[in-house]
Amino acid sequence: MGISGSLIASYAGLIALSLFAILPLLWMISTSFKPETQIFTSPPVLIPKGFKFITDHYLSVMKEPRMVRYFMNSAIISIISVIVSVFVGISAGYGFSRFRFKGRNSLFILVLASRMVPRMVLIIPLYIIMARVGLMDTYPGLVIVYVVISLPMSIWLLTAYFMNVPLELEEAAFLDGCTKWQALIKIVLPISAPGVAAVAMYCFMLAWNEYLFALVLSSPYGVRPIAVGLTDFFKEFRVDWGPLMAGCVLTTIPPMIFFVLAQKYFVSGLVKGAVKG
Amino acid sequence: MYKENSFLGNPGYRFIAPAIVLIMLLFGYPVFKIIQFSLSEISLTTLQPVRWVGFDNFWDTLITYRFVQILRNTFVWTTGSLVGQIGLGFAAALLLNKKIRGITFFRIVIMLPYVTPGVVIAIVWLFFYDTEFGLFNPLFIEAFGGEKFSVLSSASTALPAVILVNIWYMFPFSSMVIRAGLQGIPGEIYSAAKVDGASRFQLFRYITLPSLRPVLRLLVVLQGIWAINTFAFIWIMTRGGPGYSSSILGVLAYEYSFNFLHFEKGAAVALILLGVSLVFGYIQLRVTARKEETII
Repeated sequence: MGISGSLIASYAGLIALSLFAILPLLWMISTSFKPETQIFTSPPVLIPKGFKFITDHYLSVMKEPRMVRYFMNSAIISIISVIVSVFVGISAGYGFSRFRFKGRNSLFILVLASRMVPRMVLIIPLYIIMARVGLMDTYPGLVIVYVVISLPMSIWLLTAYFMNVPLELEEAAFLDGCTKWQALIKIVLPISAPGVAAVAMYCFMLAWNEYLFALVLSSPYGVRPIAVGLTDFFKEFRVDWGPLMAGCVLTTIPPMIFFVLAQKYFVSGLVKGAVKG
Repeated sequence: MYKENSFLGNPGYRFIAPAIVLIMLLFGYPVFKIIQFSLSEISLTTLQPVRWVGFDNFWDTLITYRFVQILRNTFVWTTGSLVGQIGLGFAAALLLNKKIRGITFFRIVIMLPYVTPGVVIAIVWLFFYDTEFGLFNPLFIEAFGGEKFSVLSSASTALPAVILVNIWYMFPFSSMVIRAGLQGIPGEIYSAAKVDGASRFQLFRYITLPSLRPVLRLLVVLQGIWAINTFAFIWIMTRGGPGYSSSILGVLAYEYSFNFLHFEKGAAVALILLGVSLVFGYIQLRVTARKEETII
């Protein structure tokens, strides 16, 4: 097999795209490990002179109490959101995929249509509602909001996924005396594991990365998650890019890990649900 | 699909109940409130509507030059982002679909922008574009003999600069979806056409593109809605400036409501945004109606 021109062209294209994709990320990582003098040089460099890498920025970030609180908030809110979302989503997905009842189609369309509602439309009344109900700047407040925003997509994906699971297995189980719930948990779920994993990942990313709702519904000394917390460090006149980039790297790690682990499921689960037909 | 026993006895209701209740409460009720807010005057002390003002809020927001500029920006933002991310995503999909050595490495790397948190992206690119210390100027301007300038502070380049960030962020998703579409095209069609002597270009134009049309349409609508919804990138990188040159509908609604505390004006703009979204959404429902037959 000789090396054809088109093969070289393909690799060239792939390398170019990869460089494009990774350059800002490399910039982020490199800045987070550079000494101050190498960050504020003109012209800027990707690799610091003499390969001097330091971990000072990471240490200062991890010692900063605000940062620690932001990360903890993100962790708590994201994990709880995923659990609730998955629970509600699986329940609804099962209901929509397995049962025919009056209003089923309209309700399903309602669920899909709510995905069209812009976040800005929700945030203005929600801000006022949350304040009145006393859920402003609380964990439950943010969790409920994140769960609801992720519901349309979760339900859409799970319904489509469940519909791919053949009925015979559950019917056999019913003959053996299973209730609907038992059938759902013992039979349908294990088979739909990739779809559920995709939904779990989607909900986690949404909760971890969400900016607007967290910005409006939380305060720096309350439940503010890291997504917004990072921008709180812009208050000074001169931005400490080193620690800020370190904070960015740390913020990127959980979703990255999730993605690398669930990568196969993410693509197949998401695509199966979204590009059906 | 089972259980045709119609009314409330049907267990399906119990399964979907939690989701429906939540959606009604936190989607339905706010939409109703937004309409109410946009047609009233809001008291700042009680944050409740006190007076019915009809379409005054809409009138006040629409007949400003600022609003026309924002409409234009929203259009430029959406088309620019869509063309960029779908175009680039298409190229990426074609390349990533090849079964050559090391392709998994490239697939993962090219997916990275999409997996990075939006805030992180905004902050990193903010520094990337920095006039004195960022990589953008030396790499892409000065290397070609240009003079470095502040990308995010000039009205003519602020919006395109953030559009580039959006493209960078979203093209991996497009490429993933298009790749799935590519894999759905049976190989036999290509073989048969090659036997008939079709060239690479003809294969692309007469087989690949038409087969991908549904996928592309779905992408345009889905990503169109996402694009219009963008807030974090613009807000963190430029705050909509300089002077509204990079502001879009959603950003304006935020500013009215949370900076100027004109909730009623913010509501009016948000409602316009909702209208635009619904148009997109209606198109999507029509376009994918055939594909969703199996679900609905």
